[in-house]
Formats: sequence, structure tokens, C-alpha cells
Amino acid sequence: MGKIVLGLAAPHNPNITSRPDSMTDDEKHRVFGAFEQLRKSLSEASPDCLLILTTDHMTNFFYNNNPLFCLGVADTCEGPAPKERARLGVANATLKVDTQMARGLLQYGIDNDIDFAYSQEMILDHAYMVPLNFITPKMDLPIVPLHIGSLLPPCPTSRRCYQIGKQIADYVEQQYDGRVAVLASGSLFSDVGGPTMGWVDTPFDMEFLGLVKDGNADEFAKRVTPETLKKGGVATELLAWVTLLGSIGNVKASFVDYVWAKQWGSGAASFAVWNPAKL
Amino acid sequence: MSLYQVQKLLYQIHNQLDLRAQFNAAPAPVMAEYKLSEDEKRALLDKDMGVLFRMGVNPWLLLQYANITGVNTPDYLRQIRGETS
Repeated sequence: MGKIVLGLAAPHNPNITSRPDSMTDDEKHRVFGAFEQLRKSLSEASPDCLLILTTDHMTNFFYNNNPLFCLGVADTCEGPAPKERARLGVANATLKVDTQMARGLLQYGIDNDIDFAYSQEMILDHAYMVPLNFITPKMDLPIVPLHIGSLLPPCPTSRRCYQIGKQIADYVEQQYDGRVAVLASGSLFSDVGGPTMGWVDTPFDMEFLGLVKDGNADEFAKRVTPETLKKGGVATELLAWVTLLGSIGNVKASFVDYVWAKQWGSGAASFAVWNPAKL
Repeated sequence: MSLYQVQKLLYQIHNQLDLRAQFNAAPAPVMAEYKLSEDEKRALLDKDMGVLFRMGVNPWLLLQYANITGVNTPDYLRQIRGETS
């Protein structure tokens, strides 16, 4: 039935929209150029919906009630969050949710042993809105937001994320009627707020981007051990990449780019595009 | 003693802009609404990022507290790393 036609990975560093001057002209050129590449790929793939994998940033969820996986299933979602509207540099938007997929995936999960949490009011914070601002500037593509808890430890394992990614692909093939693009929003190494903030472990990033280039999803998922997540900084956003790779499989990325703007004080920007439909 | 209560306060002033304004104008009445020990209250009032970090406050949330209370990032990092300025 349905098909995953495109994979995208992009950073959601709020400095990109809130403080573009934190980048040199060259960095700006490369970051905006990479986002433009993703926008074009998305436009060419012409999907019916965009599944977004990322982590909530203490907007919807906190230690009082902290789902490890949560689908946004309402008819629409709004962003950015009130707390960041004044400074984020992304206009307020109400995005349509592809409820066929959001609710279908929820039910598929229940039937196949994934206990997704779900939300009738998921606010889209910068983790969603920063990449959307560039890749769907009209904010007119129906989305399915899937929060993967990465900021409030303990976090899910890579094994679990990879498996859920595969099950998402199974759901799309068996039950969804349409073309799906999947976006992983997040950095690889990123220690925002942690003691190594301001520094980036570039060999760490290169190791994982190398596996992305080689199309070695299985190895990527395997190398994201609990120790790797600890080494990768406080944000553990690698898990969004792992989930995406589960859904795409061992497909070589058709585009990879990497920019570290040293003034950001957070992770570098890693970008990737996969075209599984062109195999 | 409750790390959860400290983090709840930080989470709520991070998200609720009116509560944040109240906290910035007069922190004590806002803090009185949470079950905090004297040490925790002092660390919050002193903006002592090192103590809060070692107490176990989530680093991402703690960075938001630094931003809210005007502690710049180099100072924040010096404090959580235990370096003297």
C-alpha cells in the first residue's frame, strides 16, 4: 500500500533562526544551502505526509508525566511554544496533522506491541518548527509528530527505537494509503547545558555520518549503546536518527552535509537525505 | 529535600511567562509554593549553578534557568565545571 519515499535529517538548533548572526557568512551559506537541498528533495518526493521524529524540549512533557514515545493525533498542531515565540524567529503556524496516519499508527502499535502514548494537544516547539521553517516554508504539508523522549533520562534504547522505526515502515506498507517522508530532527553529538557545551566531538559525528553515507543503518543502530548516548551529550538526539534509519533500512544517503558554527555553543548541524524509492 | 520540586519550579518558570515575570520580580513568594529545603532555596536565590548541577538538576533545564536569571553561558559553564572565575 503506502511507501516511505524520503528520509531527511536536519538540526533544530534554535540559533539558526533566532540568531542567524551567530554564523559566519560561510556557515550561513552552507546551513541555509543544506536546508534548501532538503526542501527541494521534499518537494520533488511530493509526499502526502511528513512523519517528524524528535524530542519534546520540556514543552509538553516533564518528570510528572514523561512518555518515551508519544504521537500527536489531533487534527492540528500549533507551534512554536509560547515560551519561545518572542525569540525563535519562526512565525506562529497551525499545521494539519495526517490523522489517517497518526491514529492508524497508534492503533497499529496497540495491535503489534508498541505502547505509544498519544496527545490531543501536542505543541510543536523549536525541535519541530526550526526544520519545518526551512523545508516546508508554507507549513502546508500534513505532519505526524512523534516525540521520542531523549531529554529527560532514562531514555529508550537504540534497539527499541530501531525496532519501532522498522514497525513504522511495516505499518506504512501494510495499512497506510499514501507516500510518506520521514524527518529526524536533531544533532548527533550535542551537550546543550552540559559541561562540554561549546565543544563538539567531531570524530564522534564523523563516525556516525560515515555510516549514514555507507548506508549502514544496522551498524549505526548497534553502535548507539548506552555508553555512546552518554558520550554524545545531554540531548541524545541520535535516537531520532536511529528511528529514522529503522524506517528506511540500509540505504546510502544521497546527500550529507555538516557545519559546526563555533559560536552556537551546542552541537554541529548534520544534514542527510535518503531516497529509498529510487533504489 | 526534593530535586523534583526544584526542577518543577524551573520547568514552570521556563514555560509560564507570567510566573517567570513574578519570579524575576520577587522570587521568594514563588518559591514558597514549592516544597524546597533551605539549601535548595539558597542555591536558587544565589543562582548557584554549580550547586544546582551537582544536586542533579537536568542540565538542559538548568541552562534555561541560567538564561532566565541572566547568568551568561561562560559563567554558567565555569560554575557547573567547578572552575573558579
